[in-house]
Amino acid sequence: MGEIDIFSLSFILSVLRVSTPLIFAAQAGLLSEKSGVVQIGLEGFMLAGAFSGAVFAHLTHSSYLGFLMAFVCGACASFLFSLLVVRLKTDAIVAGTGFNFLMVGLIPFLTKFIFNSTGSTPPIPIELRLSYEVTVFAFAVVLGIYFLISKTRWGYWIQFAGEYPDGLTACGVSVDKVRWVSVFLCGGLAALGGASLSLFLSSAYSPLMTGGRGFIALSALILGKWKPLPTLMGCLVFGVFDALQIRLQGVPINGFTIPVQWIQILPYVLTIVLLAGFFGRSQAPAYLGKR
Amino acid sequence: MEINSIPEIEFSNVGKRFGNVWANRDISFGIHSNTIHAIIGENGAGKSTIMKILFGIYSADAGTIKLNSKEVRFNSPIDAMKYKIGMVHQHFMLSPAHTALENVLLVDPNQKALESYFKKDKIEKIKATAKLYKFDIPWDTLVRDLGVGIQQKIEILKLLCLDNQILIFDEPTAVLTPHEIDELLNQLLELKKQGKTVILITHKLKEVKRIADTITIFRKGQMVGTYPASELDEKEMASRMVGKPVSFEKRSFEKFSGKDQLLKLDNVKFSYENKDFHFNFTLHRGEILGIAGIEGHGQEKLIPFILNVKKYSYTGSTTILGKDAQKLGPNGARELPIGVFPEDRLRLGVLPELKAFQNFILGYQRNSKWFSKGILDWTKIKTLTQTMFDKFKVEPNNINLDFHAFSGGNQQKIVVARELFHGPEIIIAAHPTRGVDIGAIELIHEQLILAQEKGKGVLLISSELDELLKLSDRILVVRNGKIMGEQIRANFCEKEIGRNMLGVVT
Repeated sequence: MGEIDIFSLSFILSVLRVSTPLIFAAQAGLLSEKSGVVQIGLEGFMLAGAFSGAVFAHLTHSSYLGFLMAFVCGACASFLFSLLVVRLKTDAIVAGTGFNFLMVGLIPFLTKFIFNSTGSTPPIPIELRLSYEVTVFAFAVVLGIYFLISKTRWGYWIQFAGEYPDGLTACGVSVDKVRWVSVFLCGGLAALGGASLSLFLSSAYSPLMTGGRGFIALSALILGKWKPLPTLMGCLVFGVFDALQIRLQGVPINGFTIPVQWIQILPYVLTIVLLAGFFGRSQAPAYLGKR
Repeated sequence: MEINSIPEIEFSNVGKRFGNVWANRDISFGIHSNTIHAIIGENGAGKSTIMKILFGIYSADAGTIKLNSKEVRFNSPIDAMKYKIGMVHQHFMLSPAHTALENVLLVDPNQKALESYFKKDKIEKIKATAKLYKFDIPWDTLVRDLGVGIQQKIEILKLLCLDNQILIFDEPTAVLTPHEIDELLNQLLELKKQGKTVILITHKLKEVKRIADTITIFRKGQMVGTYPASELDEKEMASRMVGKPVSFEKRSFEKFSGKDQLLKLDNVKFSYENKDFHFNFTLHRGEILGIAGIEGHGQEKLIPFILNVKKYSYTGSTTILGKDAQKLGPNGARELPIGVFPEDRLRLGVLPELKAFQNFILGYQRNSKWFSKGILDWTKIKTLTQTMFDKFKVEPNNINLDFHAFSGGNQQKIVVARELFHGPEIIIAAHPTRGVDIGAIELIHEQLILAQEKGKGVLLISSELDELLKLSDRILVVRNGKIMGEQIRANFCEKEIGRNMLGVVT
């Protein structure tokens, strides 16, 4: 059996690293879904963030600026999503799926246009890469959202928008406005998750680099019953398996090497198993996806 | 009591049009400050519409509204709230997943997004207001775990916290038990004592008689008139609402002689959604068996259970028309001569987007009258639907309209017509007259009595005590999924039934 010490500092750090994009994306999804907007477009927002982060970091030679611009781009992209879902009342699943495909198609088009490449951005110098400050920031975001949702008036508007929108209207608050803002922040935060992939976990954008993390974040959110802190725990659970998966690659167990593809599916299998086991007991906002 | 000469609210020639139908026309009346003003009329008479105009939900197409002699025009409820007008809606505007306190805290005249939600002084103010009006509210309980009576208090409290002067109540007693109604009426009187103006939209005349100072009667979108409450008795109110004399006679009751059992639940126990149910009763031929109970106490679960809609694991035995229900399955049960009026017709009884004649065969689509070799005979279906439309006086008399285009009363008439068309032996009617106007109520009651006289068995699930007392031969009271009490017609006691509904055994 190979040396996989899951209590070593390096393993814990690696869990934190791989969890970071999930934490951003899951909290982003939480904001949107709490306000009643089904958020299946996390993957698209992450792609947008990963790409725009890498591009702006490359252009400005500053990863921090790139990171910031990822937020701006993700938030701006959310306007399209909100226009469809909040304003025009399109089905959020359809709009979200379309949004994901749009990003999958738009980015190679832009890379061809800007860098004349087939989908990747030029890597940023290794010394420009972001480090664990991103993870610290992610944790700060979790705390911030926790306080926003459960302590402030605005947070309660979000909750009521998801639980009983008519009640919110009756109190003179516009449900649509609350949802616009939630989706706006969701877009920005999910994009930060993407940017932490391209600026922290690696140093460039490569095609489809999110690899379904938007959906894994969504399952972490469901697992965390739409609550900020349990959702964070959900992300860390997925992080552990992702880190484990990386460590197990090519490690012989009792002289037998498991093919790398089998190891790599671990987080995805986990998604299915956990969701199948827990979904029934989950408590989604009552008006999630309804008007 | 003394009434000031200038009304606080004055409607002059107010009209509201939906498409080319006038929902309100030439409405002119005044509401005086510090009175309880009842607005009564049948469903669809336009009484809610006029109040929704006052509250800014609708805007008037004609006429003016004056508030304290100043003309006002509200474009949204938010405008109306600025003038201290509040409305308790028929459907509560509460989030079931939040506590009572959290729900009340949501109202705030000067909302700031980023301030703390649980400000101490605000909470204290809310609790003080509750105390002033003698509202006893379990602050930290989730609304979903509270009864409708308390939910309504929370809703009223929300308006009081906004310091509203004019309070509109839209059918506030529709979902309450007799005891809770009593309490609410006292609270409305208390509100008046504190100087508020209360507007009560209702069709329950007894309540009006008890607390109202002034009454405005609506019929078919127009005003019949405004009267001091002392001038009209219940009978007079009803005739003016309907436009013709209404009989208030309870039915002449004949003791059922048959020992013939149509439906028997013998010590049936089952669990569903973590709730336990225990039913033990028999429905005889020629009997209307009333099931009383506060909504959500399990009486509605009887329908899916009897019809085998889901697979229930239960102990005891169910016999329907001599057959063991366990062996029937949903299709088997559906083929038995059972007519059902479900409690939520739009969700459980029909496909609202389809046309009336299509809905007419729903659930009976394989009946040999119109179905053979996989083909439906639409011409025949339309003819038969038309005859039933004529018989039940459905308005508008057009079988090609979409189901949802009919008013509540007419929708229910269509459902009743469909279920009775096949001459069922057993009729299960759940809240058959909910949201239905007086004319249609009479028709539906007549039909149930007619069925009983023909020797059918009727299981009448209702939360309207008056309806149960009028129709039933026996009444069973259900609470928490169990039968709490049984009364036979000779010994009906309204108070006792009310107490059983609340779980008090005497």
